[in-house]
Amino acid sequence: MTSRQPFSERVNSHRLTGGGRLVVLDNPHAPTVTLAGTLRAGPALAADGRFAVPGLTAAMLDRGTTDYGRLELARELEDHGLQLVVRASAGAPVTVSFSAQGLAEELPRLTSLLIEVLRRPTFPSEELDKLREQVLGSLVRERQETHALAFAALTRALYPDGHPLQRRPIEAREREVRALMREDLVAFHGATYGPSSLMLAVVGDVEPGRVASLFEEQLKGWDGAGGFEPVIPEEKETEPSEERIQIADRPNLDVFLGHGGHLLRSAPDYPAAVLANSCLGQSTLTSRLGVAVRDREGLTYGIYSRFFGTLHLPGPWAVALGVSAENLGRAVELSRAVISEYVAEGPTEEELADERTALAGGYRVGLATNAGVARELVTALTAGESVERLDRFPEELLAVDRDQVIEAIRTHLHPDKLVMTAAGDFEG
Amino acid sequence: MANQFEKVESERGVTEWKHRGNGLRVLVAPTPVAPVVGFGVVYRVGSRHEASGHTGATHILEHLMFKGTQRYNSERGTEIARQLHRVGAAFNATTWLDRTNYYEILPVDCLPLAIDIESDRMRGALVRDSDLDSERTVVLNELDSGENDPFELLMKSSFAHAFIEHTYHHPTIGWRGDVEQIDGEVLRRFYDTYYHPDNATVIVVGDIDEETALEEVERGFGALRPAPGPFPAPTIREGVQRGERRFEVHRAGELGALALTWHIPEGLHADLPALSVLTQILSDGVTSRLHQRLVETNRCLGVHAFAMELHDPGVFQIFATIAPGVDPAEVEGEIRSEVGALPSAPPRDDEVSRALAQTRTDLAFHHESPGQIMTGLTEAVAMGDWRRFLRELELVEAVSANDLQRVAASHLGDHNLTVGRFVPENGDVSTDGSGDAA
Repeated sequence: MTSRQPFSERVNSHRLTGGGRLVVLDNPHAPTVTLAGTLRAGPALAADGRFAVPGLTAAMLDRGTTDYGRLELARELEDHGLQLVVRASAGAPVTVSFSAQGLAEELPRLTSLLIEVLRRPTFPSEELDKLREQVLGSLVRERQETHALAFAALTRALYPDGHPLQRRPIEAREREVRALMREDLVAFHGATYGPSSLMLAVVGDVEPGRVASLFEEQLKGWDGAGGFEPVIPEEKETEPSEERIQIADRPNLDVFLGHGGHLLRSAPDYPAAVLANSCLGQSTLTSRLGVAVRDREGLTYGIYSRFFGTLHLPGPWAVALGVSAENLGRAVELSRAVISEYVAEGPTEEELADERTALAGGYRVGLATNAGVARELVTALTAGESVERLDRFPEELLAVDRDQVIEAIRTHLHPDKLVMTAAGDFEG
Repeated sequence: MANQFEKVESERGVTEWKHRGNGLRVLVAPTPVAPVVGFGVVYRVGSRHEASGHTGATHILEHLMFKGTQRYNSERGTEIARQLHRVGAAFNATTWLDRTNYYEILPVDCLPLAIDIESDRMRGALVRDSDLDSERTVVLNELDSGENDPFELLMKSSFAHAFIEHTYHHPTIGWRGDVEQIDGEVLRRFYDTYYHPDNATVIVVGDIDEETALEEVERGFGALRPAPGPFPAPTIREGVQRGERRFEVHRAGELGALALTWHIPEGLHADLPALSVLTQILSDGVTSRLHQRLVETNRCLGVHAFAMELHDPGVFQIFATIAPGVDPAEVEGEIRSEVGALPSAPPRDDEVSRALAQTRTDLAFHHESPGQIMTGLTEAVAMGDWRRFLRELELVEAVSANDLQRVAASHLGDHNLTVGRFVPENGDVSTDGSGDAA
């Protein structure tokens, strides 16, 4: 087996008891193992818009389980050089994601501890009180973070209250964190965590059959819950608007120019839309926005555009840039002009040829690390795709023609709907 | 063509070669883990080589190296970034205290492109005044981004207070006044002084054999001539600090922070592995001493210790973000009490074995992919010996509890300490627009 073989020939797939899926790739080059996974227990599954509940549930998992106290579990991991993280992200709100890594010889311990925290958390009250204070402290920090504030303001302009992609004002999040009870977390865990939506990728110096049997052993007897779908409120119609958030002594303003997005990676025009965005804003150093705003005019250190989320819920499409207050007007005006011209004319054949090969090549380069491979594998599983998609995606990109890209631009990029949000010191 | 290179040394899968004609050093590490190759050039020039008034020169020059070379420029439609982007390369350049590095990770059949670009960059950069005009504001915006971050502000001031004589005093990005005023002539002189094959190490890691790698390097760099004279190197040594130093940085904000900085020896010194283990015992993971003492008690949002491994004597630092409502003096007292106790009692066996387990795992991951290996070798080259990257584990394995006590007593004393506080002042948080206040 070599690194040049297709993934579909190198990866072993297993259907786990309870309905989950496991893929394993044996890469004997380094004596390590990397696990990545998801489970449908993210913020979008919270009841009544209480989006802090899933986040705190995930953060409490390693703070006490049936077999381990907080410190015992930390010792068990750290004594053996292991890392294990479970987190809920507002950007991919349907799932929680987890990752774990260590030396390959530690795989049995890693497997056992991972399933232990997912399956048997006890949510000790004193640990919840500690975590609550820490989360409130990090919200105080967020009040000064220009990037987070500007992006949150963008989502509030684009999504209605109760939508999982809407980042609520910090005060609202603080109120919810203060009010939530241990029982809320226990109930959410009981309702969502279970083997049926477990997606796992394991990459490293491992024997695939052994990995599968280790997980089967740990999952035995776990019925758990899961299987319900999030209810997502209708998006609102938005008008172009601007919001400036003054944060003193933050000389670099973070700026977003964006609108609601409707791109999912399962869509037939996904490769064309990815290319449509990347000619415009994939790279600060080479894309149209970067060449105009950074390279020619020197107005920013960084500018890029993205579809912010394409897995289960389509996130916004936006341009992000950093800029000083004195250059804000010029940078935004120039960015708008570049976007409008691009949408009107589309990419040149030469730009498109470069981006096709860039994305196809970059995709392969990104798969040079075990963590990169595990991440892509689990994303494919979570999206309900086959492993073959990893092999096929570069070819899909290379096959997209200019007309398809122009069609994707019409569908996905709307310069007349751009909302601008900026956070930083406008007065300094 | 390999006979153009003289073999210097081989260790654990990495071989060092020296070009007989121009003195270029080449490290080759065949690593067939994926069909990619990492290619990097490390120049032994960093911000410590900058004179007063010209701070930031190394970094601005690194930016200008993307703006045009003889063969790769916008007039020809051959901009470096575009050439690399179109083949899917992950590429960038970074500047730090002791070195500047340029790198590409790309499909293995594209290695000749990376080599051609880097060889043109070595002696063919244009460094035009017109490029400096537009790039200066890019760098000023980068500098502004750093000013947004309390951590970076404290780091910058910690170095400025801990180093009075040595050029580690000034930040790699430069003082704002220098960045605003530096001219093209200074940058061209800097380039002509330091960018030569005999001041560089080339690194090739990936799915490639040694012979092919050397042939490609020879094709790109073989014709370049060595520098006309020796490379100026700062010889200044920081005097011994004989008394605690303190400073405060005041900015709008709500959370305080602390940075404690002690002088330690250079990266290759025998005490560094023990100092590195001390950082793990103090702040790596939930079980670590400072995490237990400050984070688990909700007095800090985070505590991190670093032992900075540099070419010249560096620093040991502890950085803490203080939880709302907690007195910074209390946190400082707790940190100093924990550090102050290190010389009087050896760490427990479980602390030492945990640090070793973490190091063993970390290093296995650092050797996992071409990009990670290249990064490790780059920093070791900057320190002065590439083999240091490969020897890290055995150095840490040899650290005893007595060593930990000894290095704490030698280097982490009060007279050698600089304490910096980030003091938050109530900022003006308001909105102008339709949305909610954040």
